[in-house]
Amino acid sequence: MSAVAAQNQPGNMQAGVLALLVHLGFFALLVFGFSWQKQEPEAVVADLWSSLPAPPRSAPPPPPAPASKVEPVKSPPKAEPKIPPKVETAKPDIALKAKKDEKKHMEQKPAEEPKKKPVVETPPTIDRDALLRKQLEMLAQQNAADQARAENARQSAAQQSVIGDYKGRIKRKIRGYLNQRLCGDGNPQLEFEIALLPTGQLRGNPILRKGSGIPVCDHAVESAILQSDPLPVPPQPEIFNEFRNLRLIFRPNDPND
Amino acid sequence: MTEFAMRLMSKFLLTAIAVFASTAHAALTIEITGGATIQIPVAIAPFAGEGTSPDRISAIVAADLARSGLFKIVDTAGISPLPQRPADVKLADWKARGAAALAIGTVIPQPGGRFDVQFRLIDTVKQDPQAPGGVIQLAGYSLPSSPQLARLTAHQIADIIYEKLTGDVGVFATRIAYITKRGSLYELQVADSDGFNAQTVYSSREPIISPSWSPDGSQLAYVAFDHKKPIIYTQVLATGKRSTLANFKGSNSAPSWSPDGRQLAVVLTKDGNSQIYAVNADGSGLKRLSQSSAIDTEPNWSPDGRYLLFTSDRGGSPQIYRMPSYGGEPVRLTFQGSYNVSPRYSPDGKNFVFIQRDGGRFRVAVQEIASGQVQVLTDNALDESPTFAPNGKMILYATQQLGRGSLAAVSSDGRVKQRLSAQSGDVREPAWGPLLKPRQ
Repeated sequence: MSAVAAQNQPGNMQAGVLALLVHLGFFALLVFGFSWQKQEPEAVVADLWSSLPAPPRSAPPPPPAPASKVEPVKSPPKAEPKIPPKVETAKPDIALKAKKDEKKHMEQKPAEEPKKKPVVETPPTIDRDALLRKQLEMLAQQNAADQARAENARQSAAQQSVIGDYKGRIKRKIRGYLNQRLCGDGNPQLEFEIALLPTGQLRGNPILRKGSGIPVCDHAVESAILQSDPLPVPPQPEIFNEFRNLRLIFRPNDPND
Repeated sequence: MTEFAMRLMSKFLLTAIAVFASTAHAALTIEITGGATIQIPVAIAPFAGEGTSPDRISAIVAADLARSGLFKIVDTAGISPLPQRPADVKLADWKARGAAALAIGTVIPQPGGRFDVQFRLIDTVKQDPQAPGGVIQLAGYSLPSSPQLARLTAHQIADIIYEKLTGDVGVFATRIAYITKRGSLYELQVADSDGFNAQTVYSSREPIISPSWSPDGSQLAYVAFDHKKPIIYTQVLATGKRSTLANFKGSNSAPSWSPDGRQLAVVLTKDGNSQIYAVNADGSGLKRLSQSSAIDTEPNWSPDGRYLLFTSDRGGSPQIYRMPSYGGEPVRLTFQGSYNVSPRYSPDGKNFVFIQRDGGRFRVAVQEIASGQVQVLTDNALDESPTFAPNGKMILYATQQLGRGSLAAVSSDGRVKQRLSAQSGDVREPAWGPLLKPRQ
């Protein structure tokens, strides 16, 4: 043991100095590295906070007060820790608040744009009741719109059914007067236009738009329309409007449908 | 105009069109296929001054139209006063009765017992706001007449109404020829198409058969047995002058005029069995057309003069054949049943009517030449001698009723059937005459 102590005496000194140097090196490295990393977030944070103090940035600062330029730079460090990027996605409340703020900001923006005090604005607070009310209102509105759409669809279907029914009645009544023996052996097609009064009576004579080429056939079809006067029409005024003007297409030699 | 002004105007127009398009209501379309097998409702008001006899003009007109099967006569009773002029017509009255048309008229006496019949056909469902009283006149005529011609005048009025409302030629003013037998007396008669106003053209104690009209309706050819053998004669109706057309050895029968009136096809046995020949209308120029060892008979010319239909038993049973009118190879046309005889062309040449035996019953049938399709039109036991009306819409034929022959008619589609009851005696072998000259 004593031999060892005797042998280490001069070497201990060197080793101690070396160890000290290494430790100092490490320490310096540690210190340097730490302070280098510390610089980074400072620059990033200052840019991201721009969502709130944007108006001051966009508004030109008053010329005699260069300090005001400095002040907004001072305030961000206060907000820095509150708005880390991951917070926005982490909690829905905050997200809503952010959206709300954003919306609010957009709404306010046009009014604030002309001149703005950059620093006075206080950070927005989250009003959960108002949010809830808003959500409920939106849900109620959507529900009402869905119901209105469904009602419209039901009414439209009912109206189409009435229209189809009266189309059939008109068809049957005119066909009952149509002497198909007068339309030759071919397959003539005719087209008449008629206008109706709400009573179903004809307003004026039928207008021949497309003849069959057989005068007697044209006359027979026209007579059938006139003999059918008055035609059955739906009593509901809004549905009758569909029947105010009718285009009648005849194929007398086709089989009855 | 500056470019700016033009742009402004075009924008204004486009906007106006867009607004109009959005507000104008599009017409609802309804498609109506088919129709009804209905009769045309027509009212025939009694003509002023025509009297009250059943033979009055308006009654004959109404009967003609009703007999065609295409018209329903609307009752005029209860409407007073009955209209005589368009201004008198109250359209609502007639529309309420369901009439689609109304005939009104006046008989105006003329010197010498003659009279004029003024007649108008009124549309009772359509009004013309421009016309006096809104009345639309479909036809209007003034026809000179006399007591002897009153029926003919009535038939002419019926023809006008028929033509105006159906688009087809009316045949009420045509005549029919037929043979009657009363006791032992045979008579060849000509009557109006309704069977009235019959006049005897020729009578004999010996049989008379096979009357055939000349195309212009001025003559009749027929077969008479006056000399104890069948001889073919032609006779001018206006003068009664009779000429012998064919008097060859053996039988001379079944004359049929060619459409141009210059020839007749006849059946002779002068060379053995019955064969078909052509002969000029004056009896000259005889030429044999068929060449067979069978019986060929009942020739009938096609309306275009190119073919002859005839009956032959050359296939073992009586069937209908067609051959060129100058002779040549015949083609058999009927294949349904074992007995098809008495062919007659329709006026358009597309069909022929004939007698078909089916289960012991002899019925009137029509066959379409192109397709060979057959439609049996009657359901009697013993029909014979069918003949088309000159408009092709009706077929006249003889049938047995209570043991004696009578005349009946059926529409060419088989829908309307009727019996002509005007004739007395045993009536046979009708032939429907041609159309009279067109009205001027």
